[in-house]
Amino acid sequence: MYAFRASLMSWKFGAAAVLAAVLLLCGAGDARAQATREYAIKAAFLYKFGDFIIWPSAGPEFRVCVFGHDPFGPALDGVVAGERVGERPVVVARHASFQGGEACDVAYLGGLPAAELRTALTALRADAVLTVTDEATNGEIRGIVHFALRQNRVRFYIDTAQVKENGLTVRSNLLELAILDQKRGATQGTAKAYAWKQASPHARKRA
Amino acid sequence: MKRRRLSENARLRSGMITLLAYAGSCSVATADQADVLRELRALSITELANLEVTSVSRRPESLRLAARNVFVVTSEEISRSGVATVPQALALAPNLQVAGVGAGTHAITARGLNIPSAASANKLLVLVDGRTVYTPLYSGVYWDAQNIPVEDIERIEVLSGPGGTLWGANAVNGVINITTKKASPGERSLTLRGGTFEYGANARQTFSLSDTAALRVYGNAFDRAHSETPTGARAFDSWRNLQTGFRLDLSREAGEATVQGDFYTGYTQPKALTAAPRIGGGNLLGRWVQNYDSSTLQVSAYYDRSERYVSTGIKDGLDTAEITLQQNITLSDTHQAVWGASYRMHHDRFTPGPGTSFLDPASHTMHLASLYGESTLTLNDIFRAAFGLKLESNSYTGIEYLPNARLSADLSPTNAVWLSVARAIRMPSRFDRDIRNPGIIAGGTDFQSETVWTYEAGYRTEPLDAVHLSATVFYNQYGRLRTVERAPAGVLPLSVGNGMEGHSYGAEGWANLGLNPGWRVSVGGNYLVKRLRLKPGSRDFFGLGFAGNDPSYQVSIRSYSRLSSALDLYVGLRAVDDLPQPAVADYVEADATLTWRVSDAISVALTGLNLLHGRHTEFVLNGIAPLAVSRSGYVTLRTSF
Repeated sequence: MYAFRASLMSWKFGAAAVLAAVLLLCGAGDARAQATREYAIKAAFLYKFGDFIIWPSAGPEFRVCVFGHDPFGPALDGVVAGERVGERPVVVARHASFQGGEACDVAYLGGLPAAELRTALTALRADAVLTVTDEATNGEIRGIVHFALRQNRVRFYIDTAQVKENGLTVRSNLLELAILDQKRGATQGTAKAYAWKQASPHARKRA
Repeated sequence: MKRRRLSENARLRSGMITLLAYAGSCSVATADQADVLRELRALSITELANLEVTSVSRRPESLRLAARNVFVVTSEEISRSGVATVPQALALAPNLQVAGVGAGTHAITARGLNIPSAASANKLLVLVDGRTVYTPLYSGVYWDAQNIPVEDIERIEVLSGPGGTLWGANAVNGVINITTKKASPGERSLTLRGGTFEYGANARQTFSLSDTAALRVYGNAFDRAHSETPTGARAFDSWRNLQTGFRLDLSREAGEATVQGDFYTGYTQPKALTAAPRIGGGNLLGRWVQNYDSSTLQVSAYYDRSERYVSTGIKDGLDTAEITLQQNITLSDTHQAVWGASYRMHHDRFTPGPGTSFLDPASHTMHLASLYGESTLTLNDIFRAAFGLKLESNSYTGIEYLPNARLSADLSPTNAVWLSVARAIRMPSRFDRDIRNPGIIAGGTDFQSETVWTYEAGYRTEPLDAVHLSATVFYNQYGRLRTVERAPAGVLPLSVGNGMEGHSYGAEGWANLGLNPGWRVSVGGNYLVKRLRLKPGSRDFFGLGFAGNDPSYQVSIRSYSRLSSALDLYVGLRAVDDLPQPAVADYVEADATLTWRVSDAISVALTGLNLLHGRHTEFVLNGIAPLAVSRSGYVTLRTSF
């Protein structure tokens, strides 16, 4: 009992000393402005979509473009640093406005004003670009992927008809994560029905 | 003996040096959110879609929990520490005393009074998604039946101290709230676990039914190894369990609805294959939440059925049904209120074995109805006061009152102190009232609820961004504690009475230290002094130890570190003081888990439990040969796809 207490004391003091030292050495955290967690998560999605979408052709780099206001800040550069989609390194390009002709695999259009956003979406129709919009800033104007907060989580709609029109192919596991949109589904084919068609025979059996 | 202590010290010291080595990399703390981003990179797209947007670093806490002593075990801690069972997860809370007894048996309490006569404290209320899981047979919890898959646990709130005003009877020394995760579309995982501790498997899949509805189903099975006697002989108490369940979540305009259920069967393998102890049961729960402009209305109801074959011939069946209505209202900027009403029914069927004590009546229906309200007033920039009262009526003792008053002061944005006074009760169990065996024990026809008045003071601070400290002191004034009384003349027949009273006091505290974005350390401990005595006129038979067999203190230090983008290390050390009666030696033990995230979808974890000794005893039940908790380990393979 006493031996136990003594040994306990010695390691307790040891632990206290270590923690004190660490705290003194490290100091307080950095108070630098940071992208919100919501946009850090969205930033991670932007390049991770690359693993679930098949583009008809691939350049040497996987290009993520941010148009208009940039809500990500350094978080986007930080999250893609050193990452690859397939063999292609991920690079970020920022454009203050949409001009047309920018080389992008993924185009985040969430920061564009409504009129410019409509122009961009029309212009990018039939281009092999994954257009991404955001319910938080764009409301009901939707690109192929439309971010939306649901149950405190970042989720997204996928417009499967537009996917086809842009010449892209979506893997079924991404569609499974998408929010199903029954209202639009009637005309565009629901994500679920599309997933069924795209799924491998093995996956179909499981379903 | 002395040599062993020294080697223990040496091990501890080497552990400290390792910790110090990680601390060397703390310059990262002043970098930026690089590590948060690295974590995001490491997640699969499914995991990304299931991340909560509000920060995980700040411990979630609602108004209801303010000015109380609550520790929250998060799903991240559960996953990083590699735990396989609910009791293991509870042991992560520094304000609980968790002791292993046998393969499926645990003794778990807060602030002491872990009764040695049954394998569970009887003054702790445990809820799973709002469903009460203690048994009215003896007011304890059958931990072997609480096999909620750890993969599905969102968080565990551990409240130490009374919670009767909101939670009702039995929330005397603490309340454990286990919350499972909402069904999130796309979640699909398979977990396989194998080693000397247990072999187990868990499969879960979530289906997206529509834009607003998701359904998760799971299957869970395990075969837990026999425990050992202190000399290393097999104890023949291995435990097998099969369980399946589902959770359906619907989000609606300004509200949500949930339907969930679990079904299980479990059995042990005794040495002689006669009437193997086994359990079975299920539950079904529905909850409907509607948000209005300044209020939230919640209605929930559940039905729970369980069967237990204790040993030769003894069978205990229980049906529980409860309906609860609760409304949270914001009356003004400075005034929040909650009120609710609930009704619960327990119906049990007890089949006695030959020659054993039995219950009279063998079957009994108990009703419990309550009405409660609590008001929280913000008095000024600094002070907040809360007053609440529950009136609860039970079939045994009629109307009981459970008041609570709290005052908290925000001394600064990062410093708060609080005071609380509350009364709580443990209402009579079936054993207290109805245990009868002619000539031996004559029940407790006059047994009243055990009561406590608790006075608490707490202090919380966040001196730095990622540093949280919490300290609480408490004083419990117990009245009418249970005793087994001798007959007025002689000894037999015994009867159950309220012959004990007294007080306890102590302290609890913990510190969560985010040393750098990749390393967090949680240090905690509790200290308890009991001063119990027999009331004048008591002819107590068993002695004061009958009320609880508790360590005077325990301390723990847990480290969650990220060694690289693919490797996590968890190390937990705990020290627990000796127990007086039945005597159990003090011990220091360590657990560790090394997790390798092979890819977005696959992780492999190696877990070692109780690494410092081959075996040690943590808790002994009266009249049952001591069992030991053994050093053990397992590998966990987790795939999500």
